Amino acid sequence: MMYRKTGNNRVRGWILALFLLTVSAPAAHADITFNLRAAPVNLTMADGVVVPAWGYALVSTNEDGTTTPGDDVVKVPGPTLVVPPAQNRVTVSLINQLPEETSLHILGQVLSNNSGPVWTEGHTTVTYTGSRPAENYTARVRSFSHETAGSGGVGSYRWDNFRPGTYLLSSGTNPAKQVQMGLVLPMVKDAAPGQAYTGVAYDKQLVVLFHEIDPVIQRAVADGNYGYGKTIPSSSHRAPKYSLINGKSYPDASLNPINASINPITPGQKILFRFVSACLDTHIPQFLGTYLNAVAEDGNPYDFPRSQYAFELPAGKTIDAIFTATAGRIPIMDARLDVTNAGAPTPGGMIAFLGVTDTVTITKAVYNAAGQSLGVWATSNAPGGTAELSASTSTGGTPADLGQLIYRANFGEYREVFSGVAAKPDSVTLTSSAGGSATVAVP
Amino acid sequence: MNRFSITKGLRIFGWMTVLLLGASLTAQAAIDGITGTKNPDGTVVFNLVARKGNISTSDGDSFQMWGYAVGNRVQYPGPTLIVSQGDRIMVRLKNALPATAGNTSITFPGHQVSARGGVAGTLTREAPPDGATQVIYEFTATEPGTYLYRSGTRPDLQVEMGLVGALIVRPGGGPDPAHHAYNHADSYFDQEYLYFITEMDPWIHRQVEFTPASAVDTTKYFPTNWFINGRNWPDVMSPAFAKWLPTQPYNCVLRMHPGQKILVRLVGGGRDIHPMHLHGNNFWVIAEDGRMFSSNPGVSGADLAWSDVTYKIAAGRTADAIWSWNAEKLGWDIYGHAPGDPMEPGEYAPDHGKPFPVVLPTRDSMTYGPFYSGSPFLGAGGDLPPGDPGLNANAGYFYMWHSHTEKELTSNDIWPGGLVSFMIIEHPNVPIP
Repeated sequence: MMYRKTGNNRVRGWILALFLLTVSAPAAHADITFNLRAAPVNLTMADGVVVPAWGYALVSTNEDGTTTPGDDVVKVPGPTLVVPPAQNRVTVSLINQLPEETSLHILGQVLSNNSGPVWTEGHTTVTYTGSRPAENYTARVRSFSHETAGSGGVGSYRWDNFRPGTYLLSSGTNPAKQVQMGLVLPMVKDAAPGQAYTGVAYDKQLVVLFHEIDPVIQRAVADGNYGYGKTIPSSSHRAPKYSLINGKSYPDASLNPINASINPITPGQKILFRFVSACLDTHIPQFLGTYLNAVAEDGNPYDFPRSQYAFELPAGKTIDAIFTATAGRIPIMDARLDVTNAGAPTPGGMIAFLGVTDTVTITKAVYNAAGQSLGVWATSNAPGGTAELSASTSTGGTPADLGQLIYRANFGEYREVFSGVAAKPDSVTLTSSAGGSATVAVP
Repeated sequence: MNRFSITKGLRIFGWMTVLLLGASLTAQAAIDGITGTKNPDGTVVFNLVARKGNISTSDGDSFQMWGYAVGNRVQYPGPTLIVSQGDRIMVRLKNALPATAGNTSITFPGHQVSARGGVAGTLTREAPPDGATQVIYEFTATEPGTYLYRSGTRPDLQVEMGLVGALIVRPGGGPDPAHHAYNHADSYFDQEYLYFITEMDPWIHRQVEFTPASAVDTTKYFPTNWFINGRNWPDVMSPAFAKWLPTQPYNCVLRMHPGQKILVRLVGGGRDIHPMHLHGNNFWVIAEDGRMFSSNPGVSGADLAWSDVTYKIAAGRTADAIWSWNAEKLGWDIYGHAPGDPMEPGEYAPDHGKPFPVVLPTRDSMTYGPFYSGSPFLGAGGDLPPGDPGLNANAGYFYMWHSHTEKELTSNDIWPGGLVSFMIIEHPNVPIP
């Protein structure tokens, strides 16, 4: 049963008309439409466990009359939707192939075609749309806005004044269940080309989305055992086993390094990190060995940047921070230490590495025949000796490992004399842990 | 109305001060820690060994820990490393943990560290549990501030087990580095205290004691013990280096005179986030992660600091807060002065000589807390009922500084415990070491 209050809708229609006249009428709308598909998908965790989930696929994008096909692959998190700076009106059309109704919600953006929440009457199938009937104190909100029916329903959600910034698009229906099932994706919009916010310039950007999985709950949802009166009635006792960055956990190759998609990065470039939490818990992305400038949270730019090495990221929040690139292999980890895959003693979970290729220069290589030793001096582009240099030699085409070339803080340089080098090698090679190497002939 | 003059109050309590200050309130105003040894080339060296040990909790329990030891004895948290800006720091780590603990290592968030020796690890180089192999971490303490160090090897278990500590970098410039947190007047303090917060899930420690450490599933982590500087309430009030807490040397007894400025160095050593709530006055948050809130770093001081009454200290992060108290706007004279009496140092002048605004009921008509001196006036005292513990030796004012996640005011389900300590405002005549 659908309940509508015609009178209320008429008033709302007038308000909408006034709103459109005053706010949107002066400028002709630029338009972008993302065509999404929501559907079940199986995710394989780092330890091989398969977890059922719900995700989004990008079917296609229409921008000012031009259609670009997407890969139409269901992912968790869903694809990053990039709204060009010139586009103010954003529409997301949704095909819902989930077994139940869903809706779309963006924290921090005002939905323009919002006909109000959908209410449910207890555990029955009775629903109300818009407002709750008068004198009804029992109905509860199921969806924040209009729903798209399950098993093939189609819906449309429109935001007429999409603000610049970093946002989380997620399900607005039974979010305690549907958000953790994976109905999340990052949305980004720059204020101007190359500027995240007016005056906040950057060279390259990375979206880093945090997300956890409780495999028991997700399996129960997939098997129809989740909800009132079922085996798992709610998420009150949720206990995530997997802690993911961009849908993967360490040691997945996509996190080591996390920046493959924007390589090459050169020192001095400004890298914008857009942290997004699709979690139900707080995580704290922490960088080891560098500081970033936090410039915004929840799409609101700061007046002044804040220099931090870690960022408290509660559920649903976004934080933007700029890393001025230095060479090195910089660990990014959850400072709340969710760094295991399902409790395994080996490193896992929310660990990633930022890799900015090093430039190694060998300043001296001296062989001492009497002492059977090889002295090597070198510099690296990574600050403070944070890169590890390993030395090897080549003699007549045969390589030999020498071990670590040690950074001498008092000289600001790597220096080591390797003993036990029986004969003068042809060449010595240094390889940096941050990538990059140098080879010189040994005189 | 009871009205005591300063001199009378102090005369009455003088003997108690002598007796009890020595016994129960031997607080050190400076933060306890180690400053390392200097190599001939100027490098400041710390030698740490990761070892197994035990600590006591205030509910009467004891737990196996892994911790950093300077000698043979573990301490929780690890020693507070106190260095100066510009120092080259060398931390040498050996691993004498049981073999099942595996390798260990140290990360220093906020510092650019070069590591050598030992074996390669995920986050940094590691020391295998042979008690002999040495890993060396070197960095330059380029910026002053409050920092932490903690294990970078299986940190979800090793930090829980105790492999975590504080690092304080004193400013290198400025006229008085012992009384500034940073190179700016905005960070001035008279007294400084450390609030190093950690948690414990007792079951993890039991499992480590009785099963292989590799079998511990840290995703089941559920802490029920909370610590300030390695102790839970009321052990935080015992003296630093108390003989009955041999592996928990640091206390947390905060003391000040009215009008003084207090620096609170807050560190989130564990995995959770704690809303630390300071009674008595707002504080200014001047820095996080060792960086002052500044619109123009290096020039404009802490001009972006904010005033607050509860600060969430996040895991792996640090904050510095400046707090002060001088009875401002209380509306009465905390010393019980007559209008013509001389002022005390730091006294709030507008309330000088204003009378106490209520008539107190007689002694036996009131319920006294253990920290009430028997008088509302600072440094004075009064009759205490028979059986009152008389814990307020110097007739100070006690302000509870605690976590506002109220369940954290317990020690493994025993109340009171956990994340509680007190700021004690002392009469100007009471010496604070």
